[in-house]
Amino acid sequence: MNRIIGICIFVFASLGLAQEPVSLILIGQMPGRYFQGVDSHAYVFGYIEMQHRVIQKMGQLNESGLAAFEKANAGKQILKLKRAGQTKYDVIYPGLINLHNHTKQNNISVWTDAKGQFANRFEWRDWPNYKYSVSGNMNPWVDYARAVECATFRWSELSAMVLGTTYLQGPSSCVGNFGIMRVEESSSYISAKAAVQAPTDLVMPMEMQFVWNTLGPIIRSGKTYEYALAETIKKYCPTIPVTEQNINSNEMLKTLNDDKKLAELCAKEGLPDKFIRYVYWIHKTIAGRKNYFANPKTKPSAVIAHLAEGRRDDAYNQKEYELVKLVGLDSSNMNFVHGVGIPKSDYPDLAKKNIGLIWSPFSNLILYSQTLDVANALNSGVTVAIGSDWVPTGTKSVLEEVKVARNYILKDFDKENLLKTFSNNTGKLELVDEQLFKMMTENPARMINHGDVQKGEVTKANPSGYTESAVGTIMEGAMGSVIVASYQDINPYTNLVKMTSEKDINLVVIDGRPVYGNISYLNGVGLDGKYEKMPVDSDEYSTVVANPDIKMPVEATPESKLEFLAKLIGSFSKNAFTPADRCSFSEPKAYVTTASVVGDDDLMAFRVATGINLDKISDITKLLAINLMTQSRNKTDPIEGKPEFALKYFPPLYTCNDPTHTRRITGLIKLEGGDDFEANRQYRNDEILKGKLGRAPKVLADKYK
Amino acid sequence: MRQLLFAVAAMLFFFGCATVNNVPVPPERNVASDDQYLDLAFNRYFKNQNFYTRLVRIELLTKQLHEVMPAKGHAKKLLVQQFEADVHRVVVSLAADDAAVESQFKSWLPSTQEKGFNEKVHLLGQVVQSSKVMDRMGIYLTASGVFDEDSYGQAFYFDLIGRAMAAIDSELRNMVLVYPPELKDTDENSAKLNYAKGIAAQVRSHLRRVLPAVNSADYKKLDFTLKRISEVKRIDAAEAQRLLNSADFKYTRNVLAQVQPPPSGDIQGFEDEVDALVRTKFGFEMISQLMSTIR
Repeated sequence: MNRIIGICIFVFASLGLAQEPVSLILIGQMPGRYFQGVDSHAYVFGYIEMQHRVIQKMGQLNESGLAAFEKANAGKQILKLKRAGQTKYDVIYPGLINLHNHTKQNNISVWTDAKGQFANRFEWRDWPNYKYSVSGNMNPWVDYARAVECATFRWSELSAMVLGTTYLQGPSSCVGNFGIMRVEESSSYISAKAAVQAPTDLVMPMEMQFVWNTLGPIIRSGKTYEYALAETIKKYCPTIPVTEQNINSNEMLKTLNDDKKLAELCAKEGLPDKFIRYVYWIHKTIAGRKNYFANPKTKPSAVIAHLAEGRRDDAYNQKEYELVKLVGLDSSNMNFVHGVGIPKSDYPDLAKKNIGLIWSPFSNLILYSQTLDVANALNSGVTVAIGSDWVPTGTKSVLEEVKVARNYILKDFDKENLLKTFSNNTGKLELVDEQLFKMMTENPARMINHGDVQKGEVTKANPSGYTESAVGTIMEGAMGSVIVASYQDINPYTNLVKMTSEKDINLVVIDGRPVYGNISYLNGVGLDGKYEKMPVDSDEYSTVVANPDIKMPVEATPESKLEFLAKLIGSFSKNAFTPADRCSFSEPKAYVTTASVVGDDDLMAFRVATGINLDKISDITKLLAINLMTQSRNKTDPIEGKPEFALKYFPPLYTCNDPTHTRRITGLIKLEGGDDFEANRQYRNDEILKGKLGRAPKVLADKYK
Repeated sequence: MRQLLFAVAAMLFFFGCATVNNVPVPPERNVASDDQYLDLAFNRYFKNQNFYTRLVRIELLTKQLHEVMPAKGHAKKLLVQQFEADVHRVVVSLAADDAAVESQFKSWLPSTQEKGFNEKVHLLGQVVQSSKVMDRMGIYLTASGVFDEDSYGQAFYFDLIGRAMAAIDSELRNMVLVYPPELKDTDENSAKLNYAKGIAAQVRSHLRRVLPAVNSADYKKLDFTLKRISEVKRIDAAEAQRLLNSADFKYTRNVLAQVQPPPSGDIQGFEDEVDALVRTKFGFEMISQLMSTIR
């Protein structure tokens, strides 16, 4: 029965959707850097033509020649990016790339207890207040059903999309054919390279002491990590036929991943501390990364992992890059998120090895009152990209993050010559903005090894005519993922970096298809009515109260959880959740409706049971609001929940509807007057004097002397 | 002598100021010997309470244990969750009985004069069997060598709960006519089945996470096995063997034995990856182990 309903819905949905345009031509302004012989800081009036996912053609235009151009391209979808009442055309930019996010937890607001007081990421993660604020609000509801988890991932995509991101890093699942593109998904690109890998952790302090203490002396004497580990395994598990050459092979990893075999074949006494744990849990991840880079059949894209997050002067943080070098993962196309604790003496090494850094200043500053020594990193030749991190300790997108970065550079609180570095010693702000622009576009593209274009044969499977299509740029052969922003400044980089916010993102195009934007633009490409208007933010989401008679079943099977969710959501069927929009966009925006749910058994079953369609923004919002505001541990568990930490309001999707988030982002660094950054530094010093900080960092530092 | 006085003073301080919902907290390591502190904590926490209140306090201890376990990646968390559910079920069932709640008889068992004495003893027996399953499965996990030992705080709560269970068990041994060995064996099997069902539900919920690319037909096969376990009402040795030897069970065991979770981009990436394996591969291993020990 479910399948029949699903088929009917699919048929109706398909009828409602636009046919994919043969070619889409966007006519507007673009930064001069994408045209040969043009001043990078000038605007060029021109067009891009997208077909089969990529930019096939582009060129300059004159307004006087527009009519002729349109005539010559009759039959193609042409969209002139000039809004009613405007004298200037909007500006086309490459879709922004965000290489740092944690996409499951972006529904909650910025953590208010983060006041720059911590030394490294292990200090706040162990703090009970963090558990209550984050885990206490995100659990247990997020695991009630796969569909609920899907909703959180989709929320992250939408949140990024309305702020111009087209490629988002994060552990999302069930976001295919919805929203924007996932950095780690190989189908996001036209490329023969292996998918980007983005594990959060490369180095786990509680698990790497074995490397530091036992393998370290052997490696530092000139041997490889593989030799050191193989010899150590042979010593304690003599019958395992491991060698330096085979220790990373699939066959040997199968043995080393067999906990029963390890228990049987290894000595019971006298083992180095955490030896078995390391061999079982950690070595396979190290070997996995090395095999990924060394695969003879498939070129790697890149690996993105956290490293040295925290303060520069944290003793443990300063050791994490040493650990990476010990295990031999300091290789090309490795990228480190944060990297704040990497000593600056290592920056030339990073540059030489083509290791990139992903900079998240907002997150660093609200957690640690310190961020990357970005001036020295850039001067040493390290490639740096901007990343937003997750909303609880970060911003919603690189477009928000870059404004914080800009203010950080201009304020230069610690007198690190940031303006000089970013402006190429000229002091010109437009050069600063150009650098920041690159950090959201071509730098991350290069870092994930998707910055090149290669022509290829046209095939049925790939009719684009390219085997490699770059992201983060506008050129023939690049992916057709672009954004269109309002013209507000004479400099194209300042226009985006400083002036553009969500009200100015007028169109988002993914693989040559518009997915979001101003209604006039969507109508202009034949998508009339095939979209859902946004924002759908409503104050009523913050005031939902659960019916106390509807309780989570004690025997929590997937079936009983679904039944519970159906009752829970059904109990709000009379709530209108009327949108209350404070954004005052010049014209409404909309998201082009997709039909991703019908192809997914779980999401379809969820839809049939609860009525929630995860292709609809209003339904996603409703599902998340009901669960977040009524089903969190803080709200439902009288013993383990902390009501005082429960969310006070449901954070809207749009920042312009969220004054709390706006205040937090804009208040961190102000160019004039006092700001949170300065207040946080004082707070941190006070907490240190009271002896309230430093225990966890010291324990870690002591383990890695 | 001085050391003992200091230790007592420290204990009094901790008990006086540092309890949550009256639940004892583990001491700083340099306070007295662990056993001394444990003795005092145990005696003080359960002193002068009737059997119902002691059971409620056991439930609180279990919740506290659950809270001090990390959110992700701790293998025993699944076991503690099930024990907590089993204790809660009995507490709820007794809560409606005024005679139990308000009894003035201070002991681990109800007074023999109390109405429904046999049924109440049976309920306590079920809790004890559940705790034994939890302990044995905990040892099974620890023996693998790939999991961390309990932290100091976790060991403290495990010890307190263990002592309480031992005390009840000791009393039950004196009630052979009311709680005979056959009933004990049945309760033990039921406890194992409950654990298997609880863990199976967890494995089901996390299957997609560790097998993102599995095709629909194979996924349904795996889910079917797990659902089958969830739907078993009663179990004996023969039924357990039939389940273990079934083609579906073997297929599921084989598939889950080889899963490797994809790299996690979660905020606690490594712990998330460990958690995914705990709730699937190791979860199914525990189910197999539980089934194979059904008598």
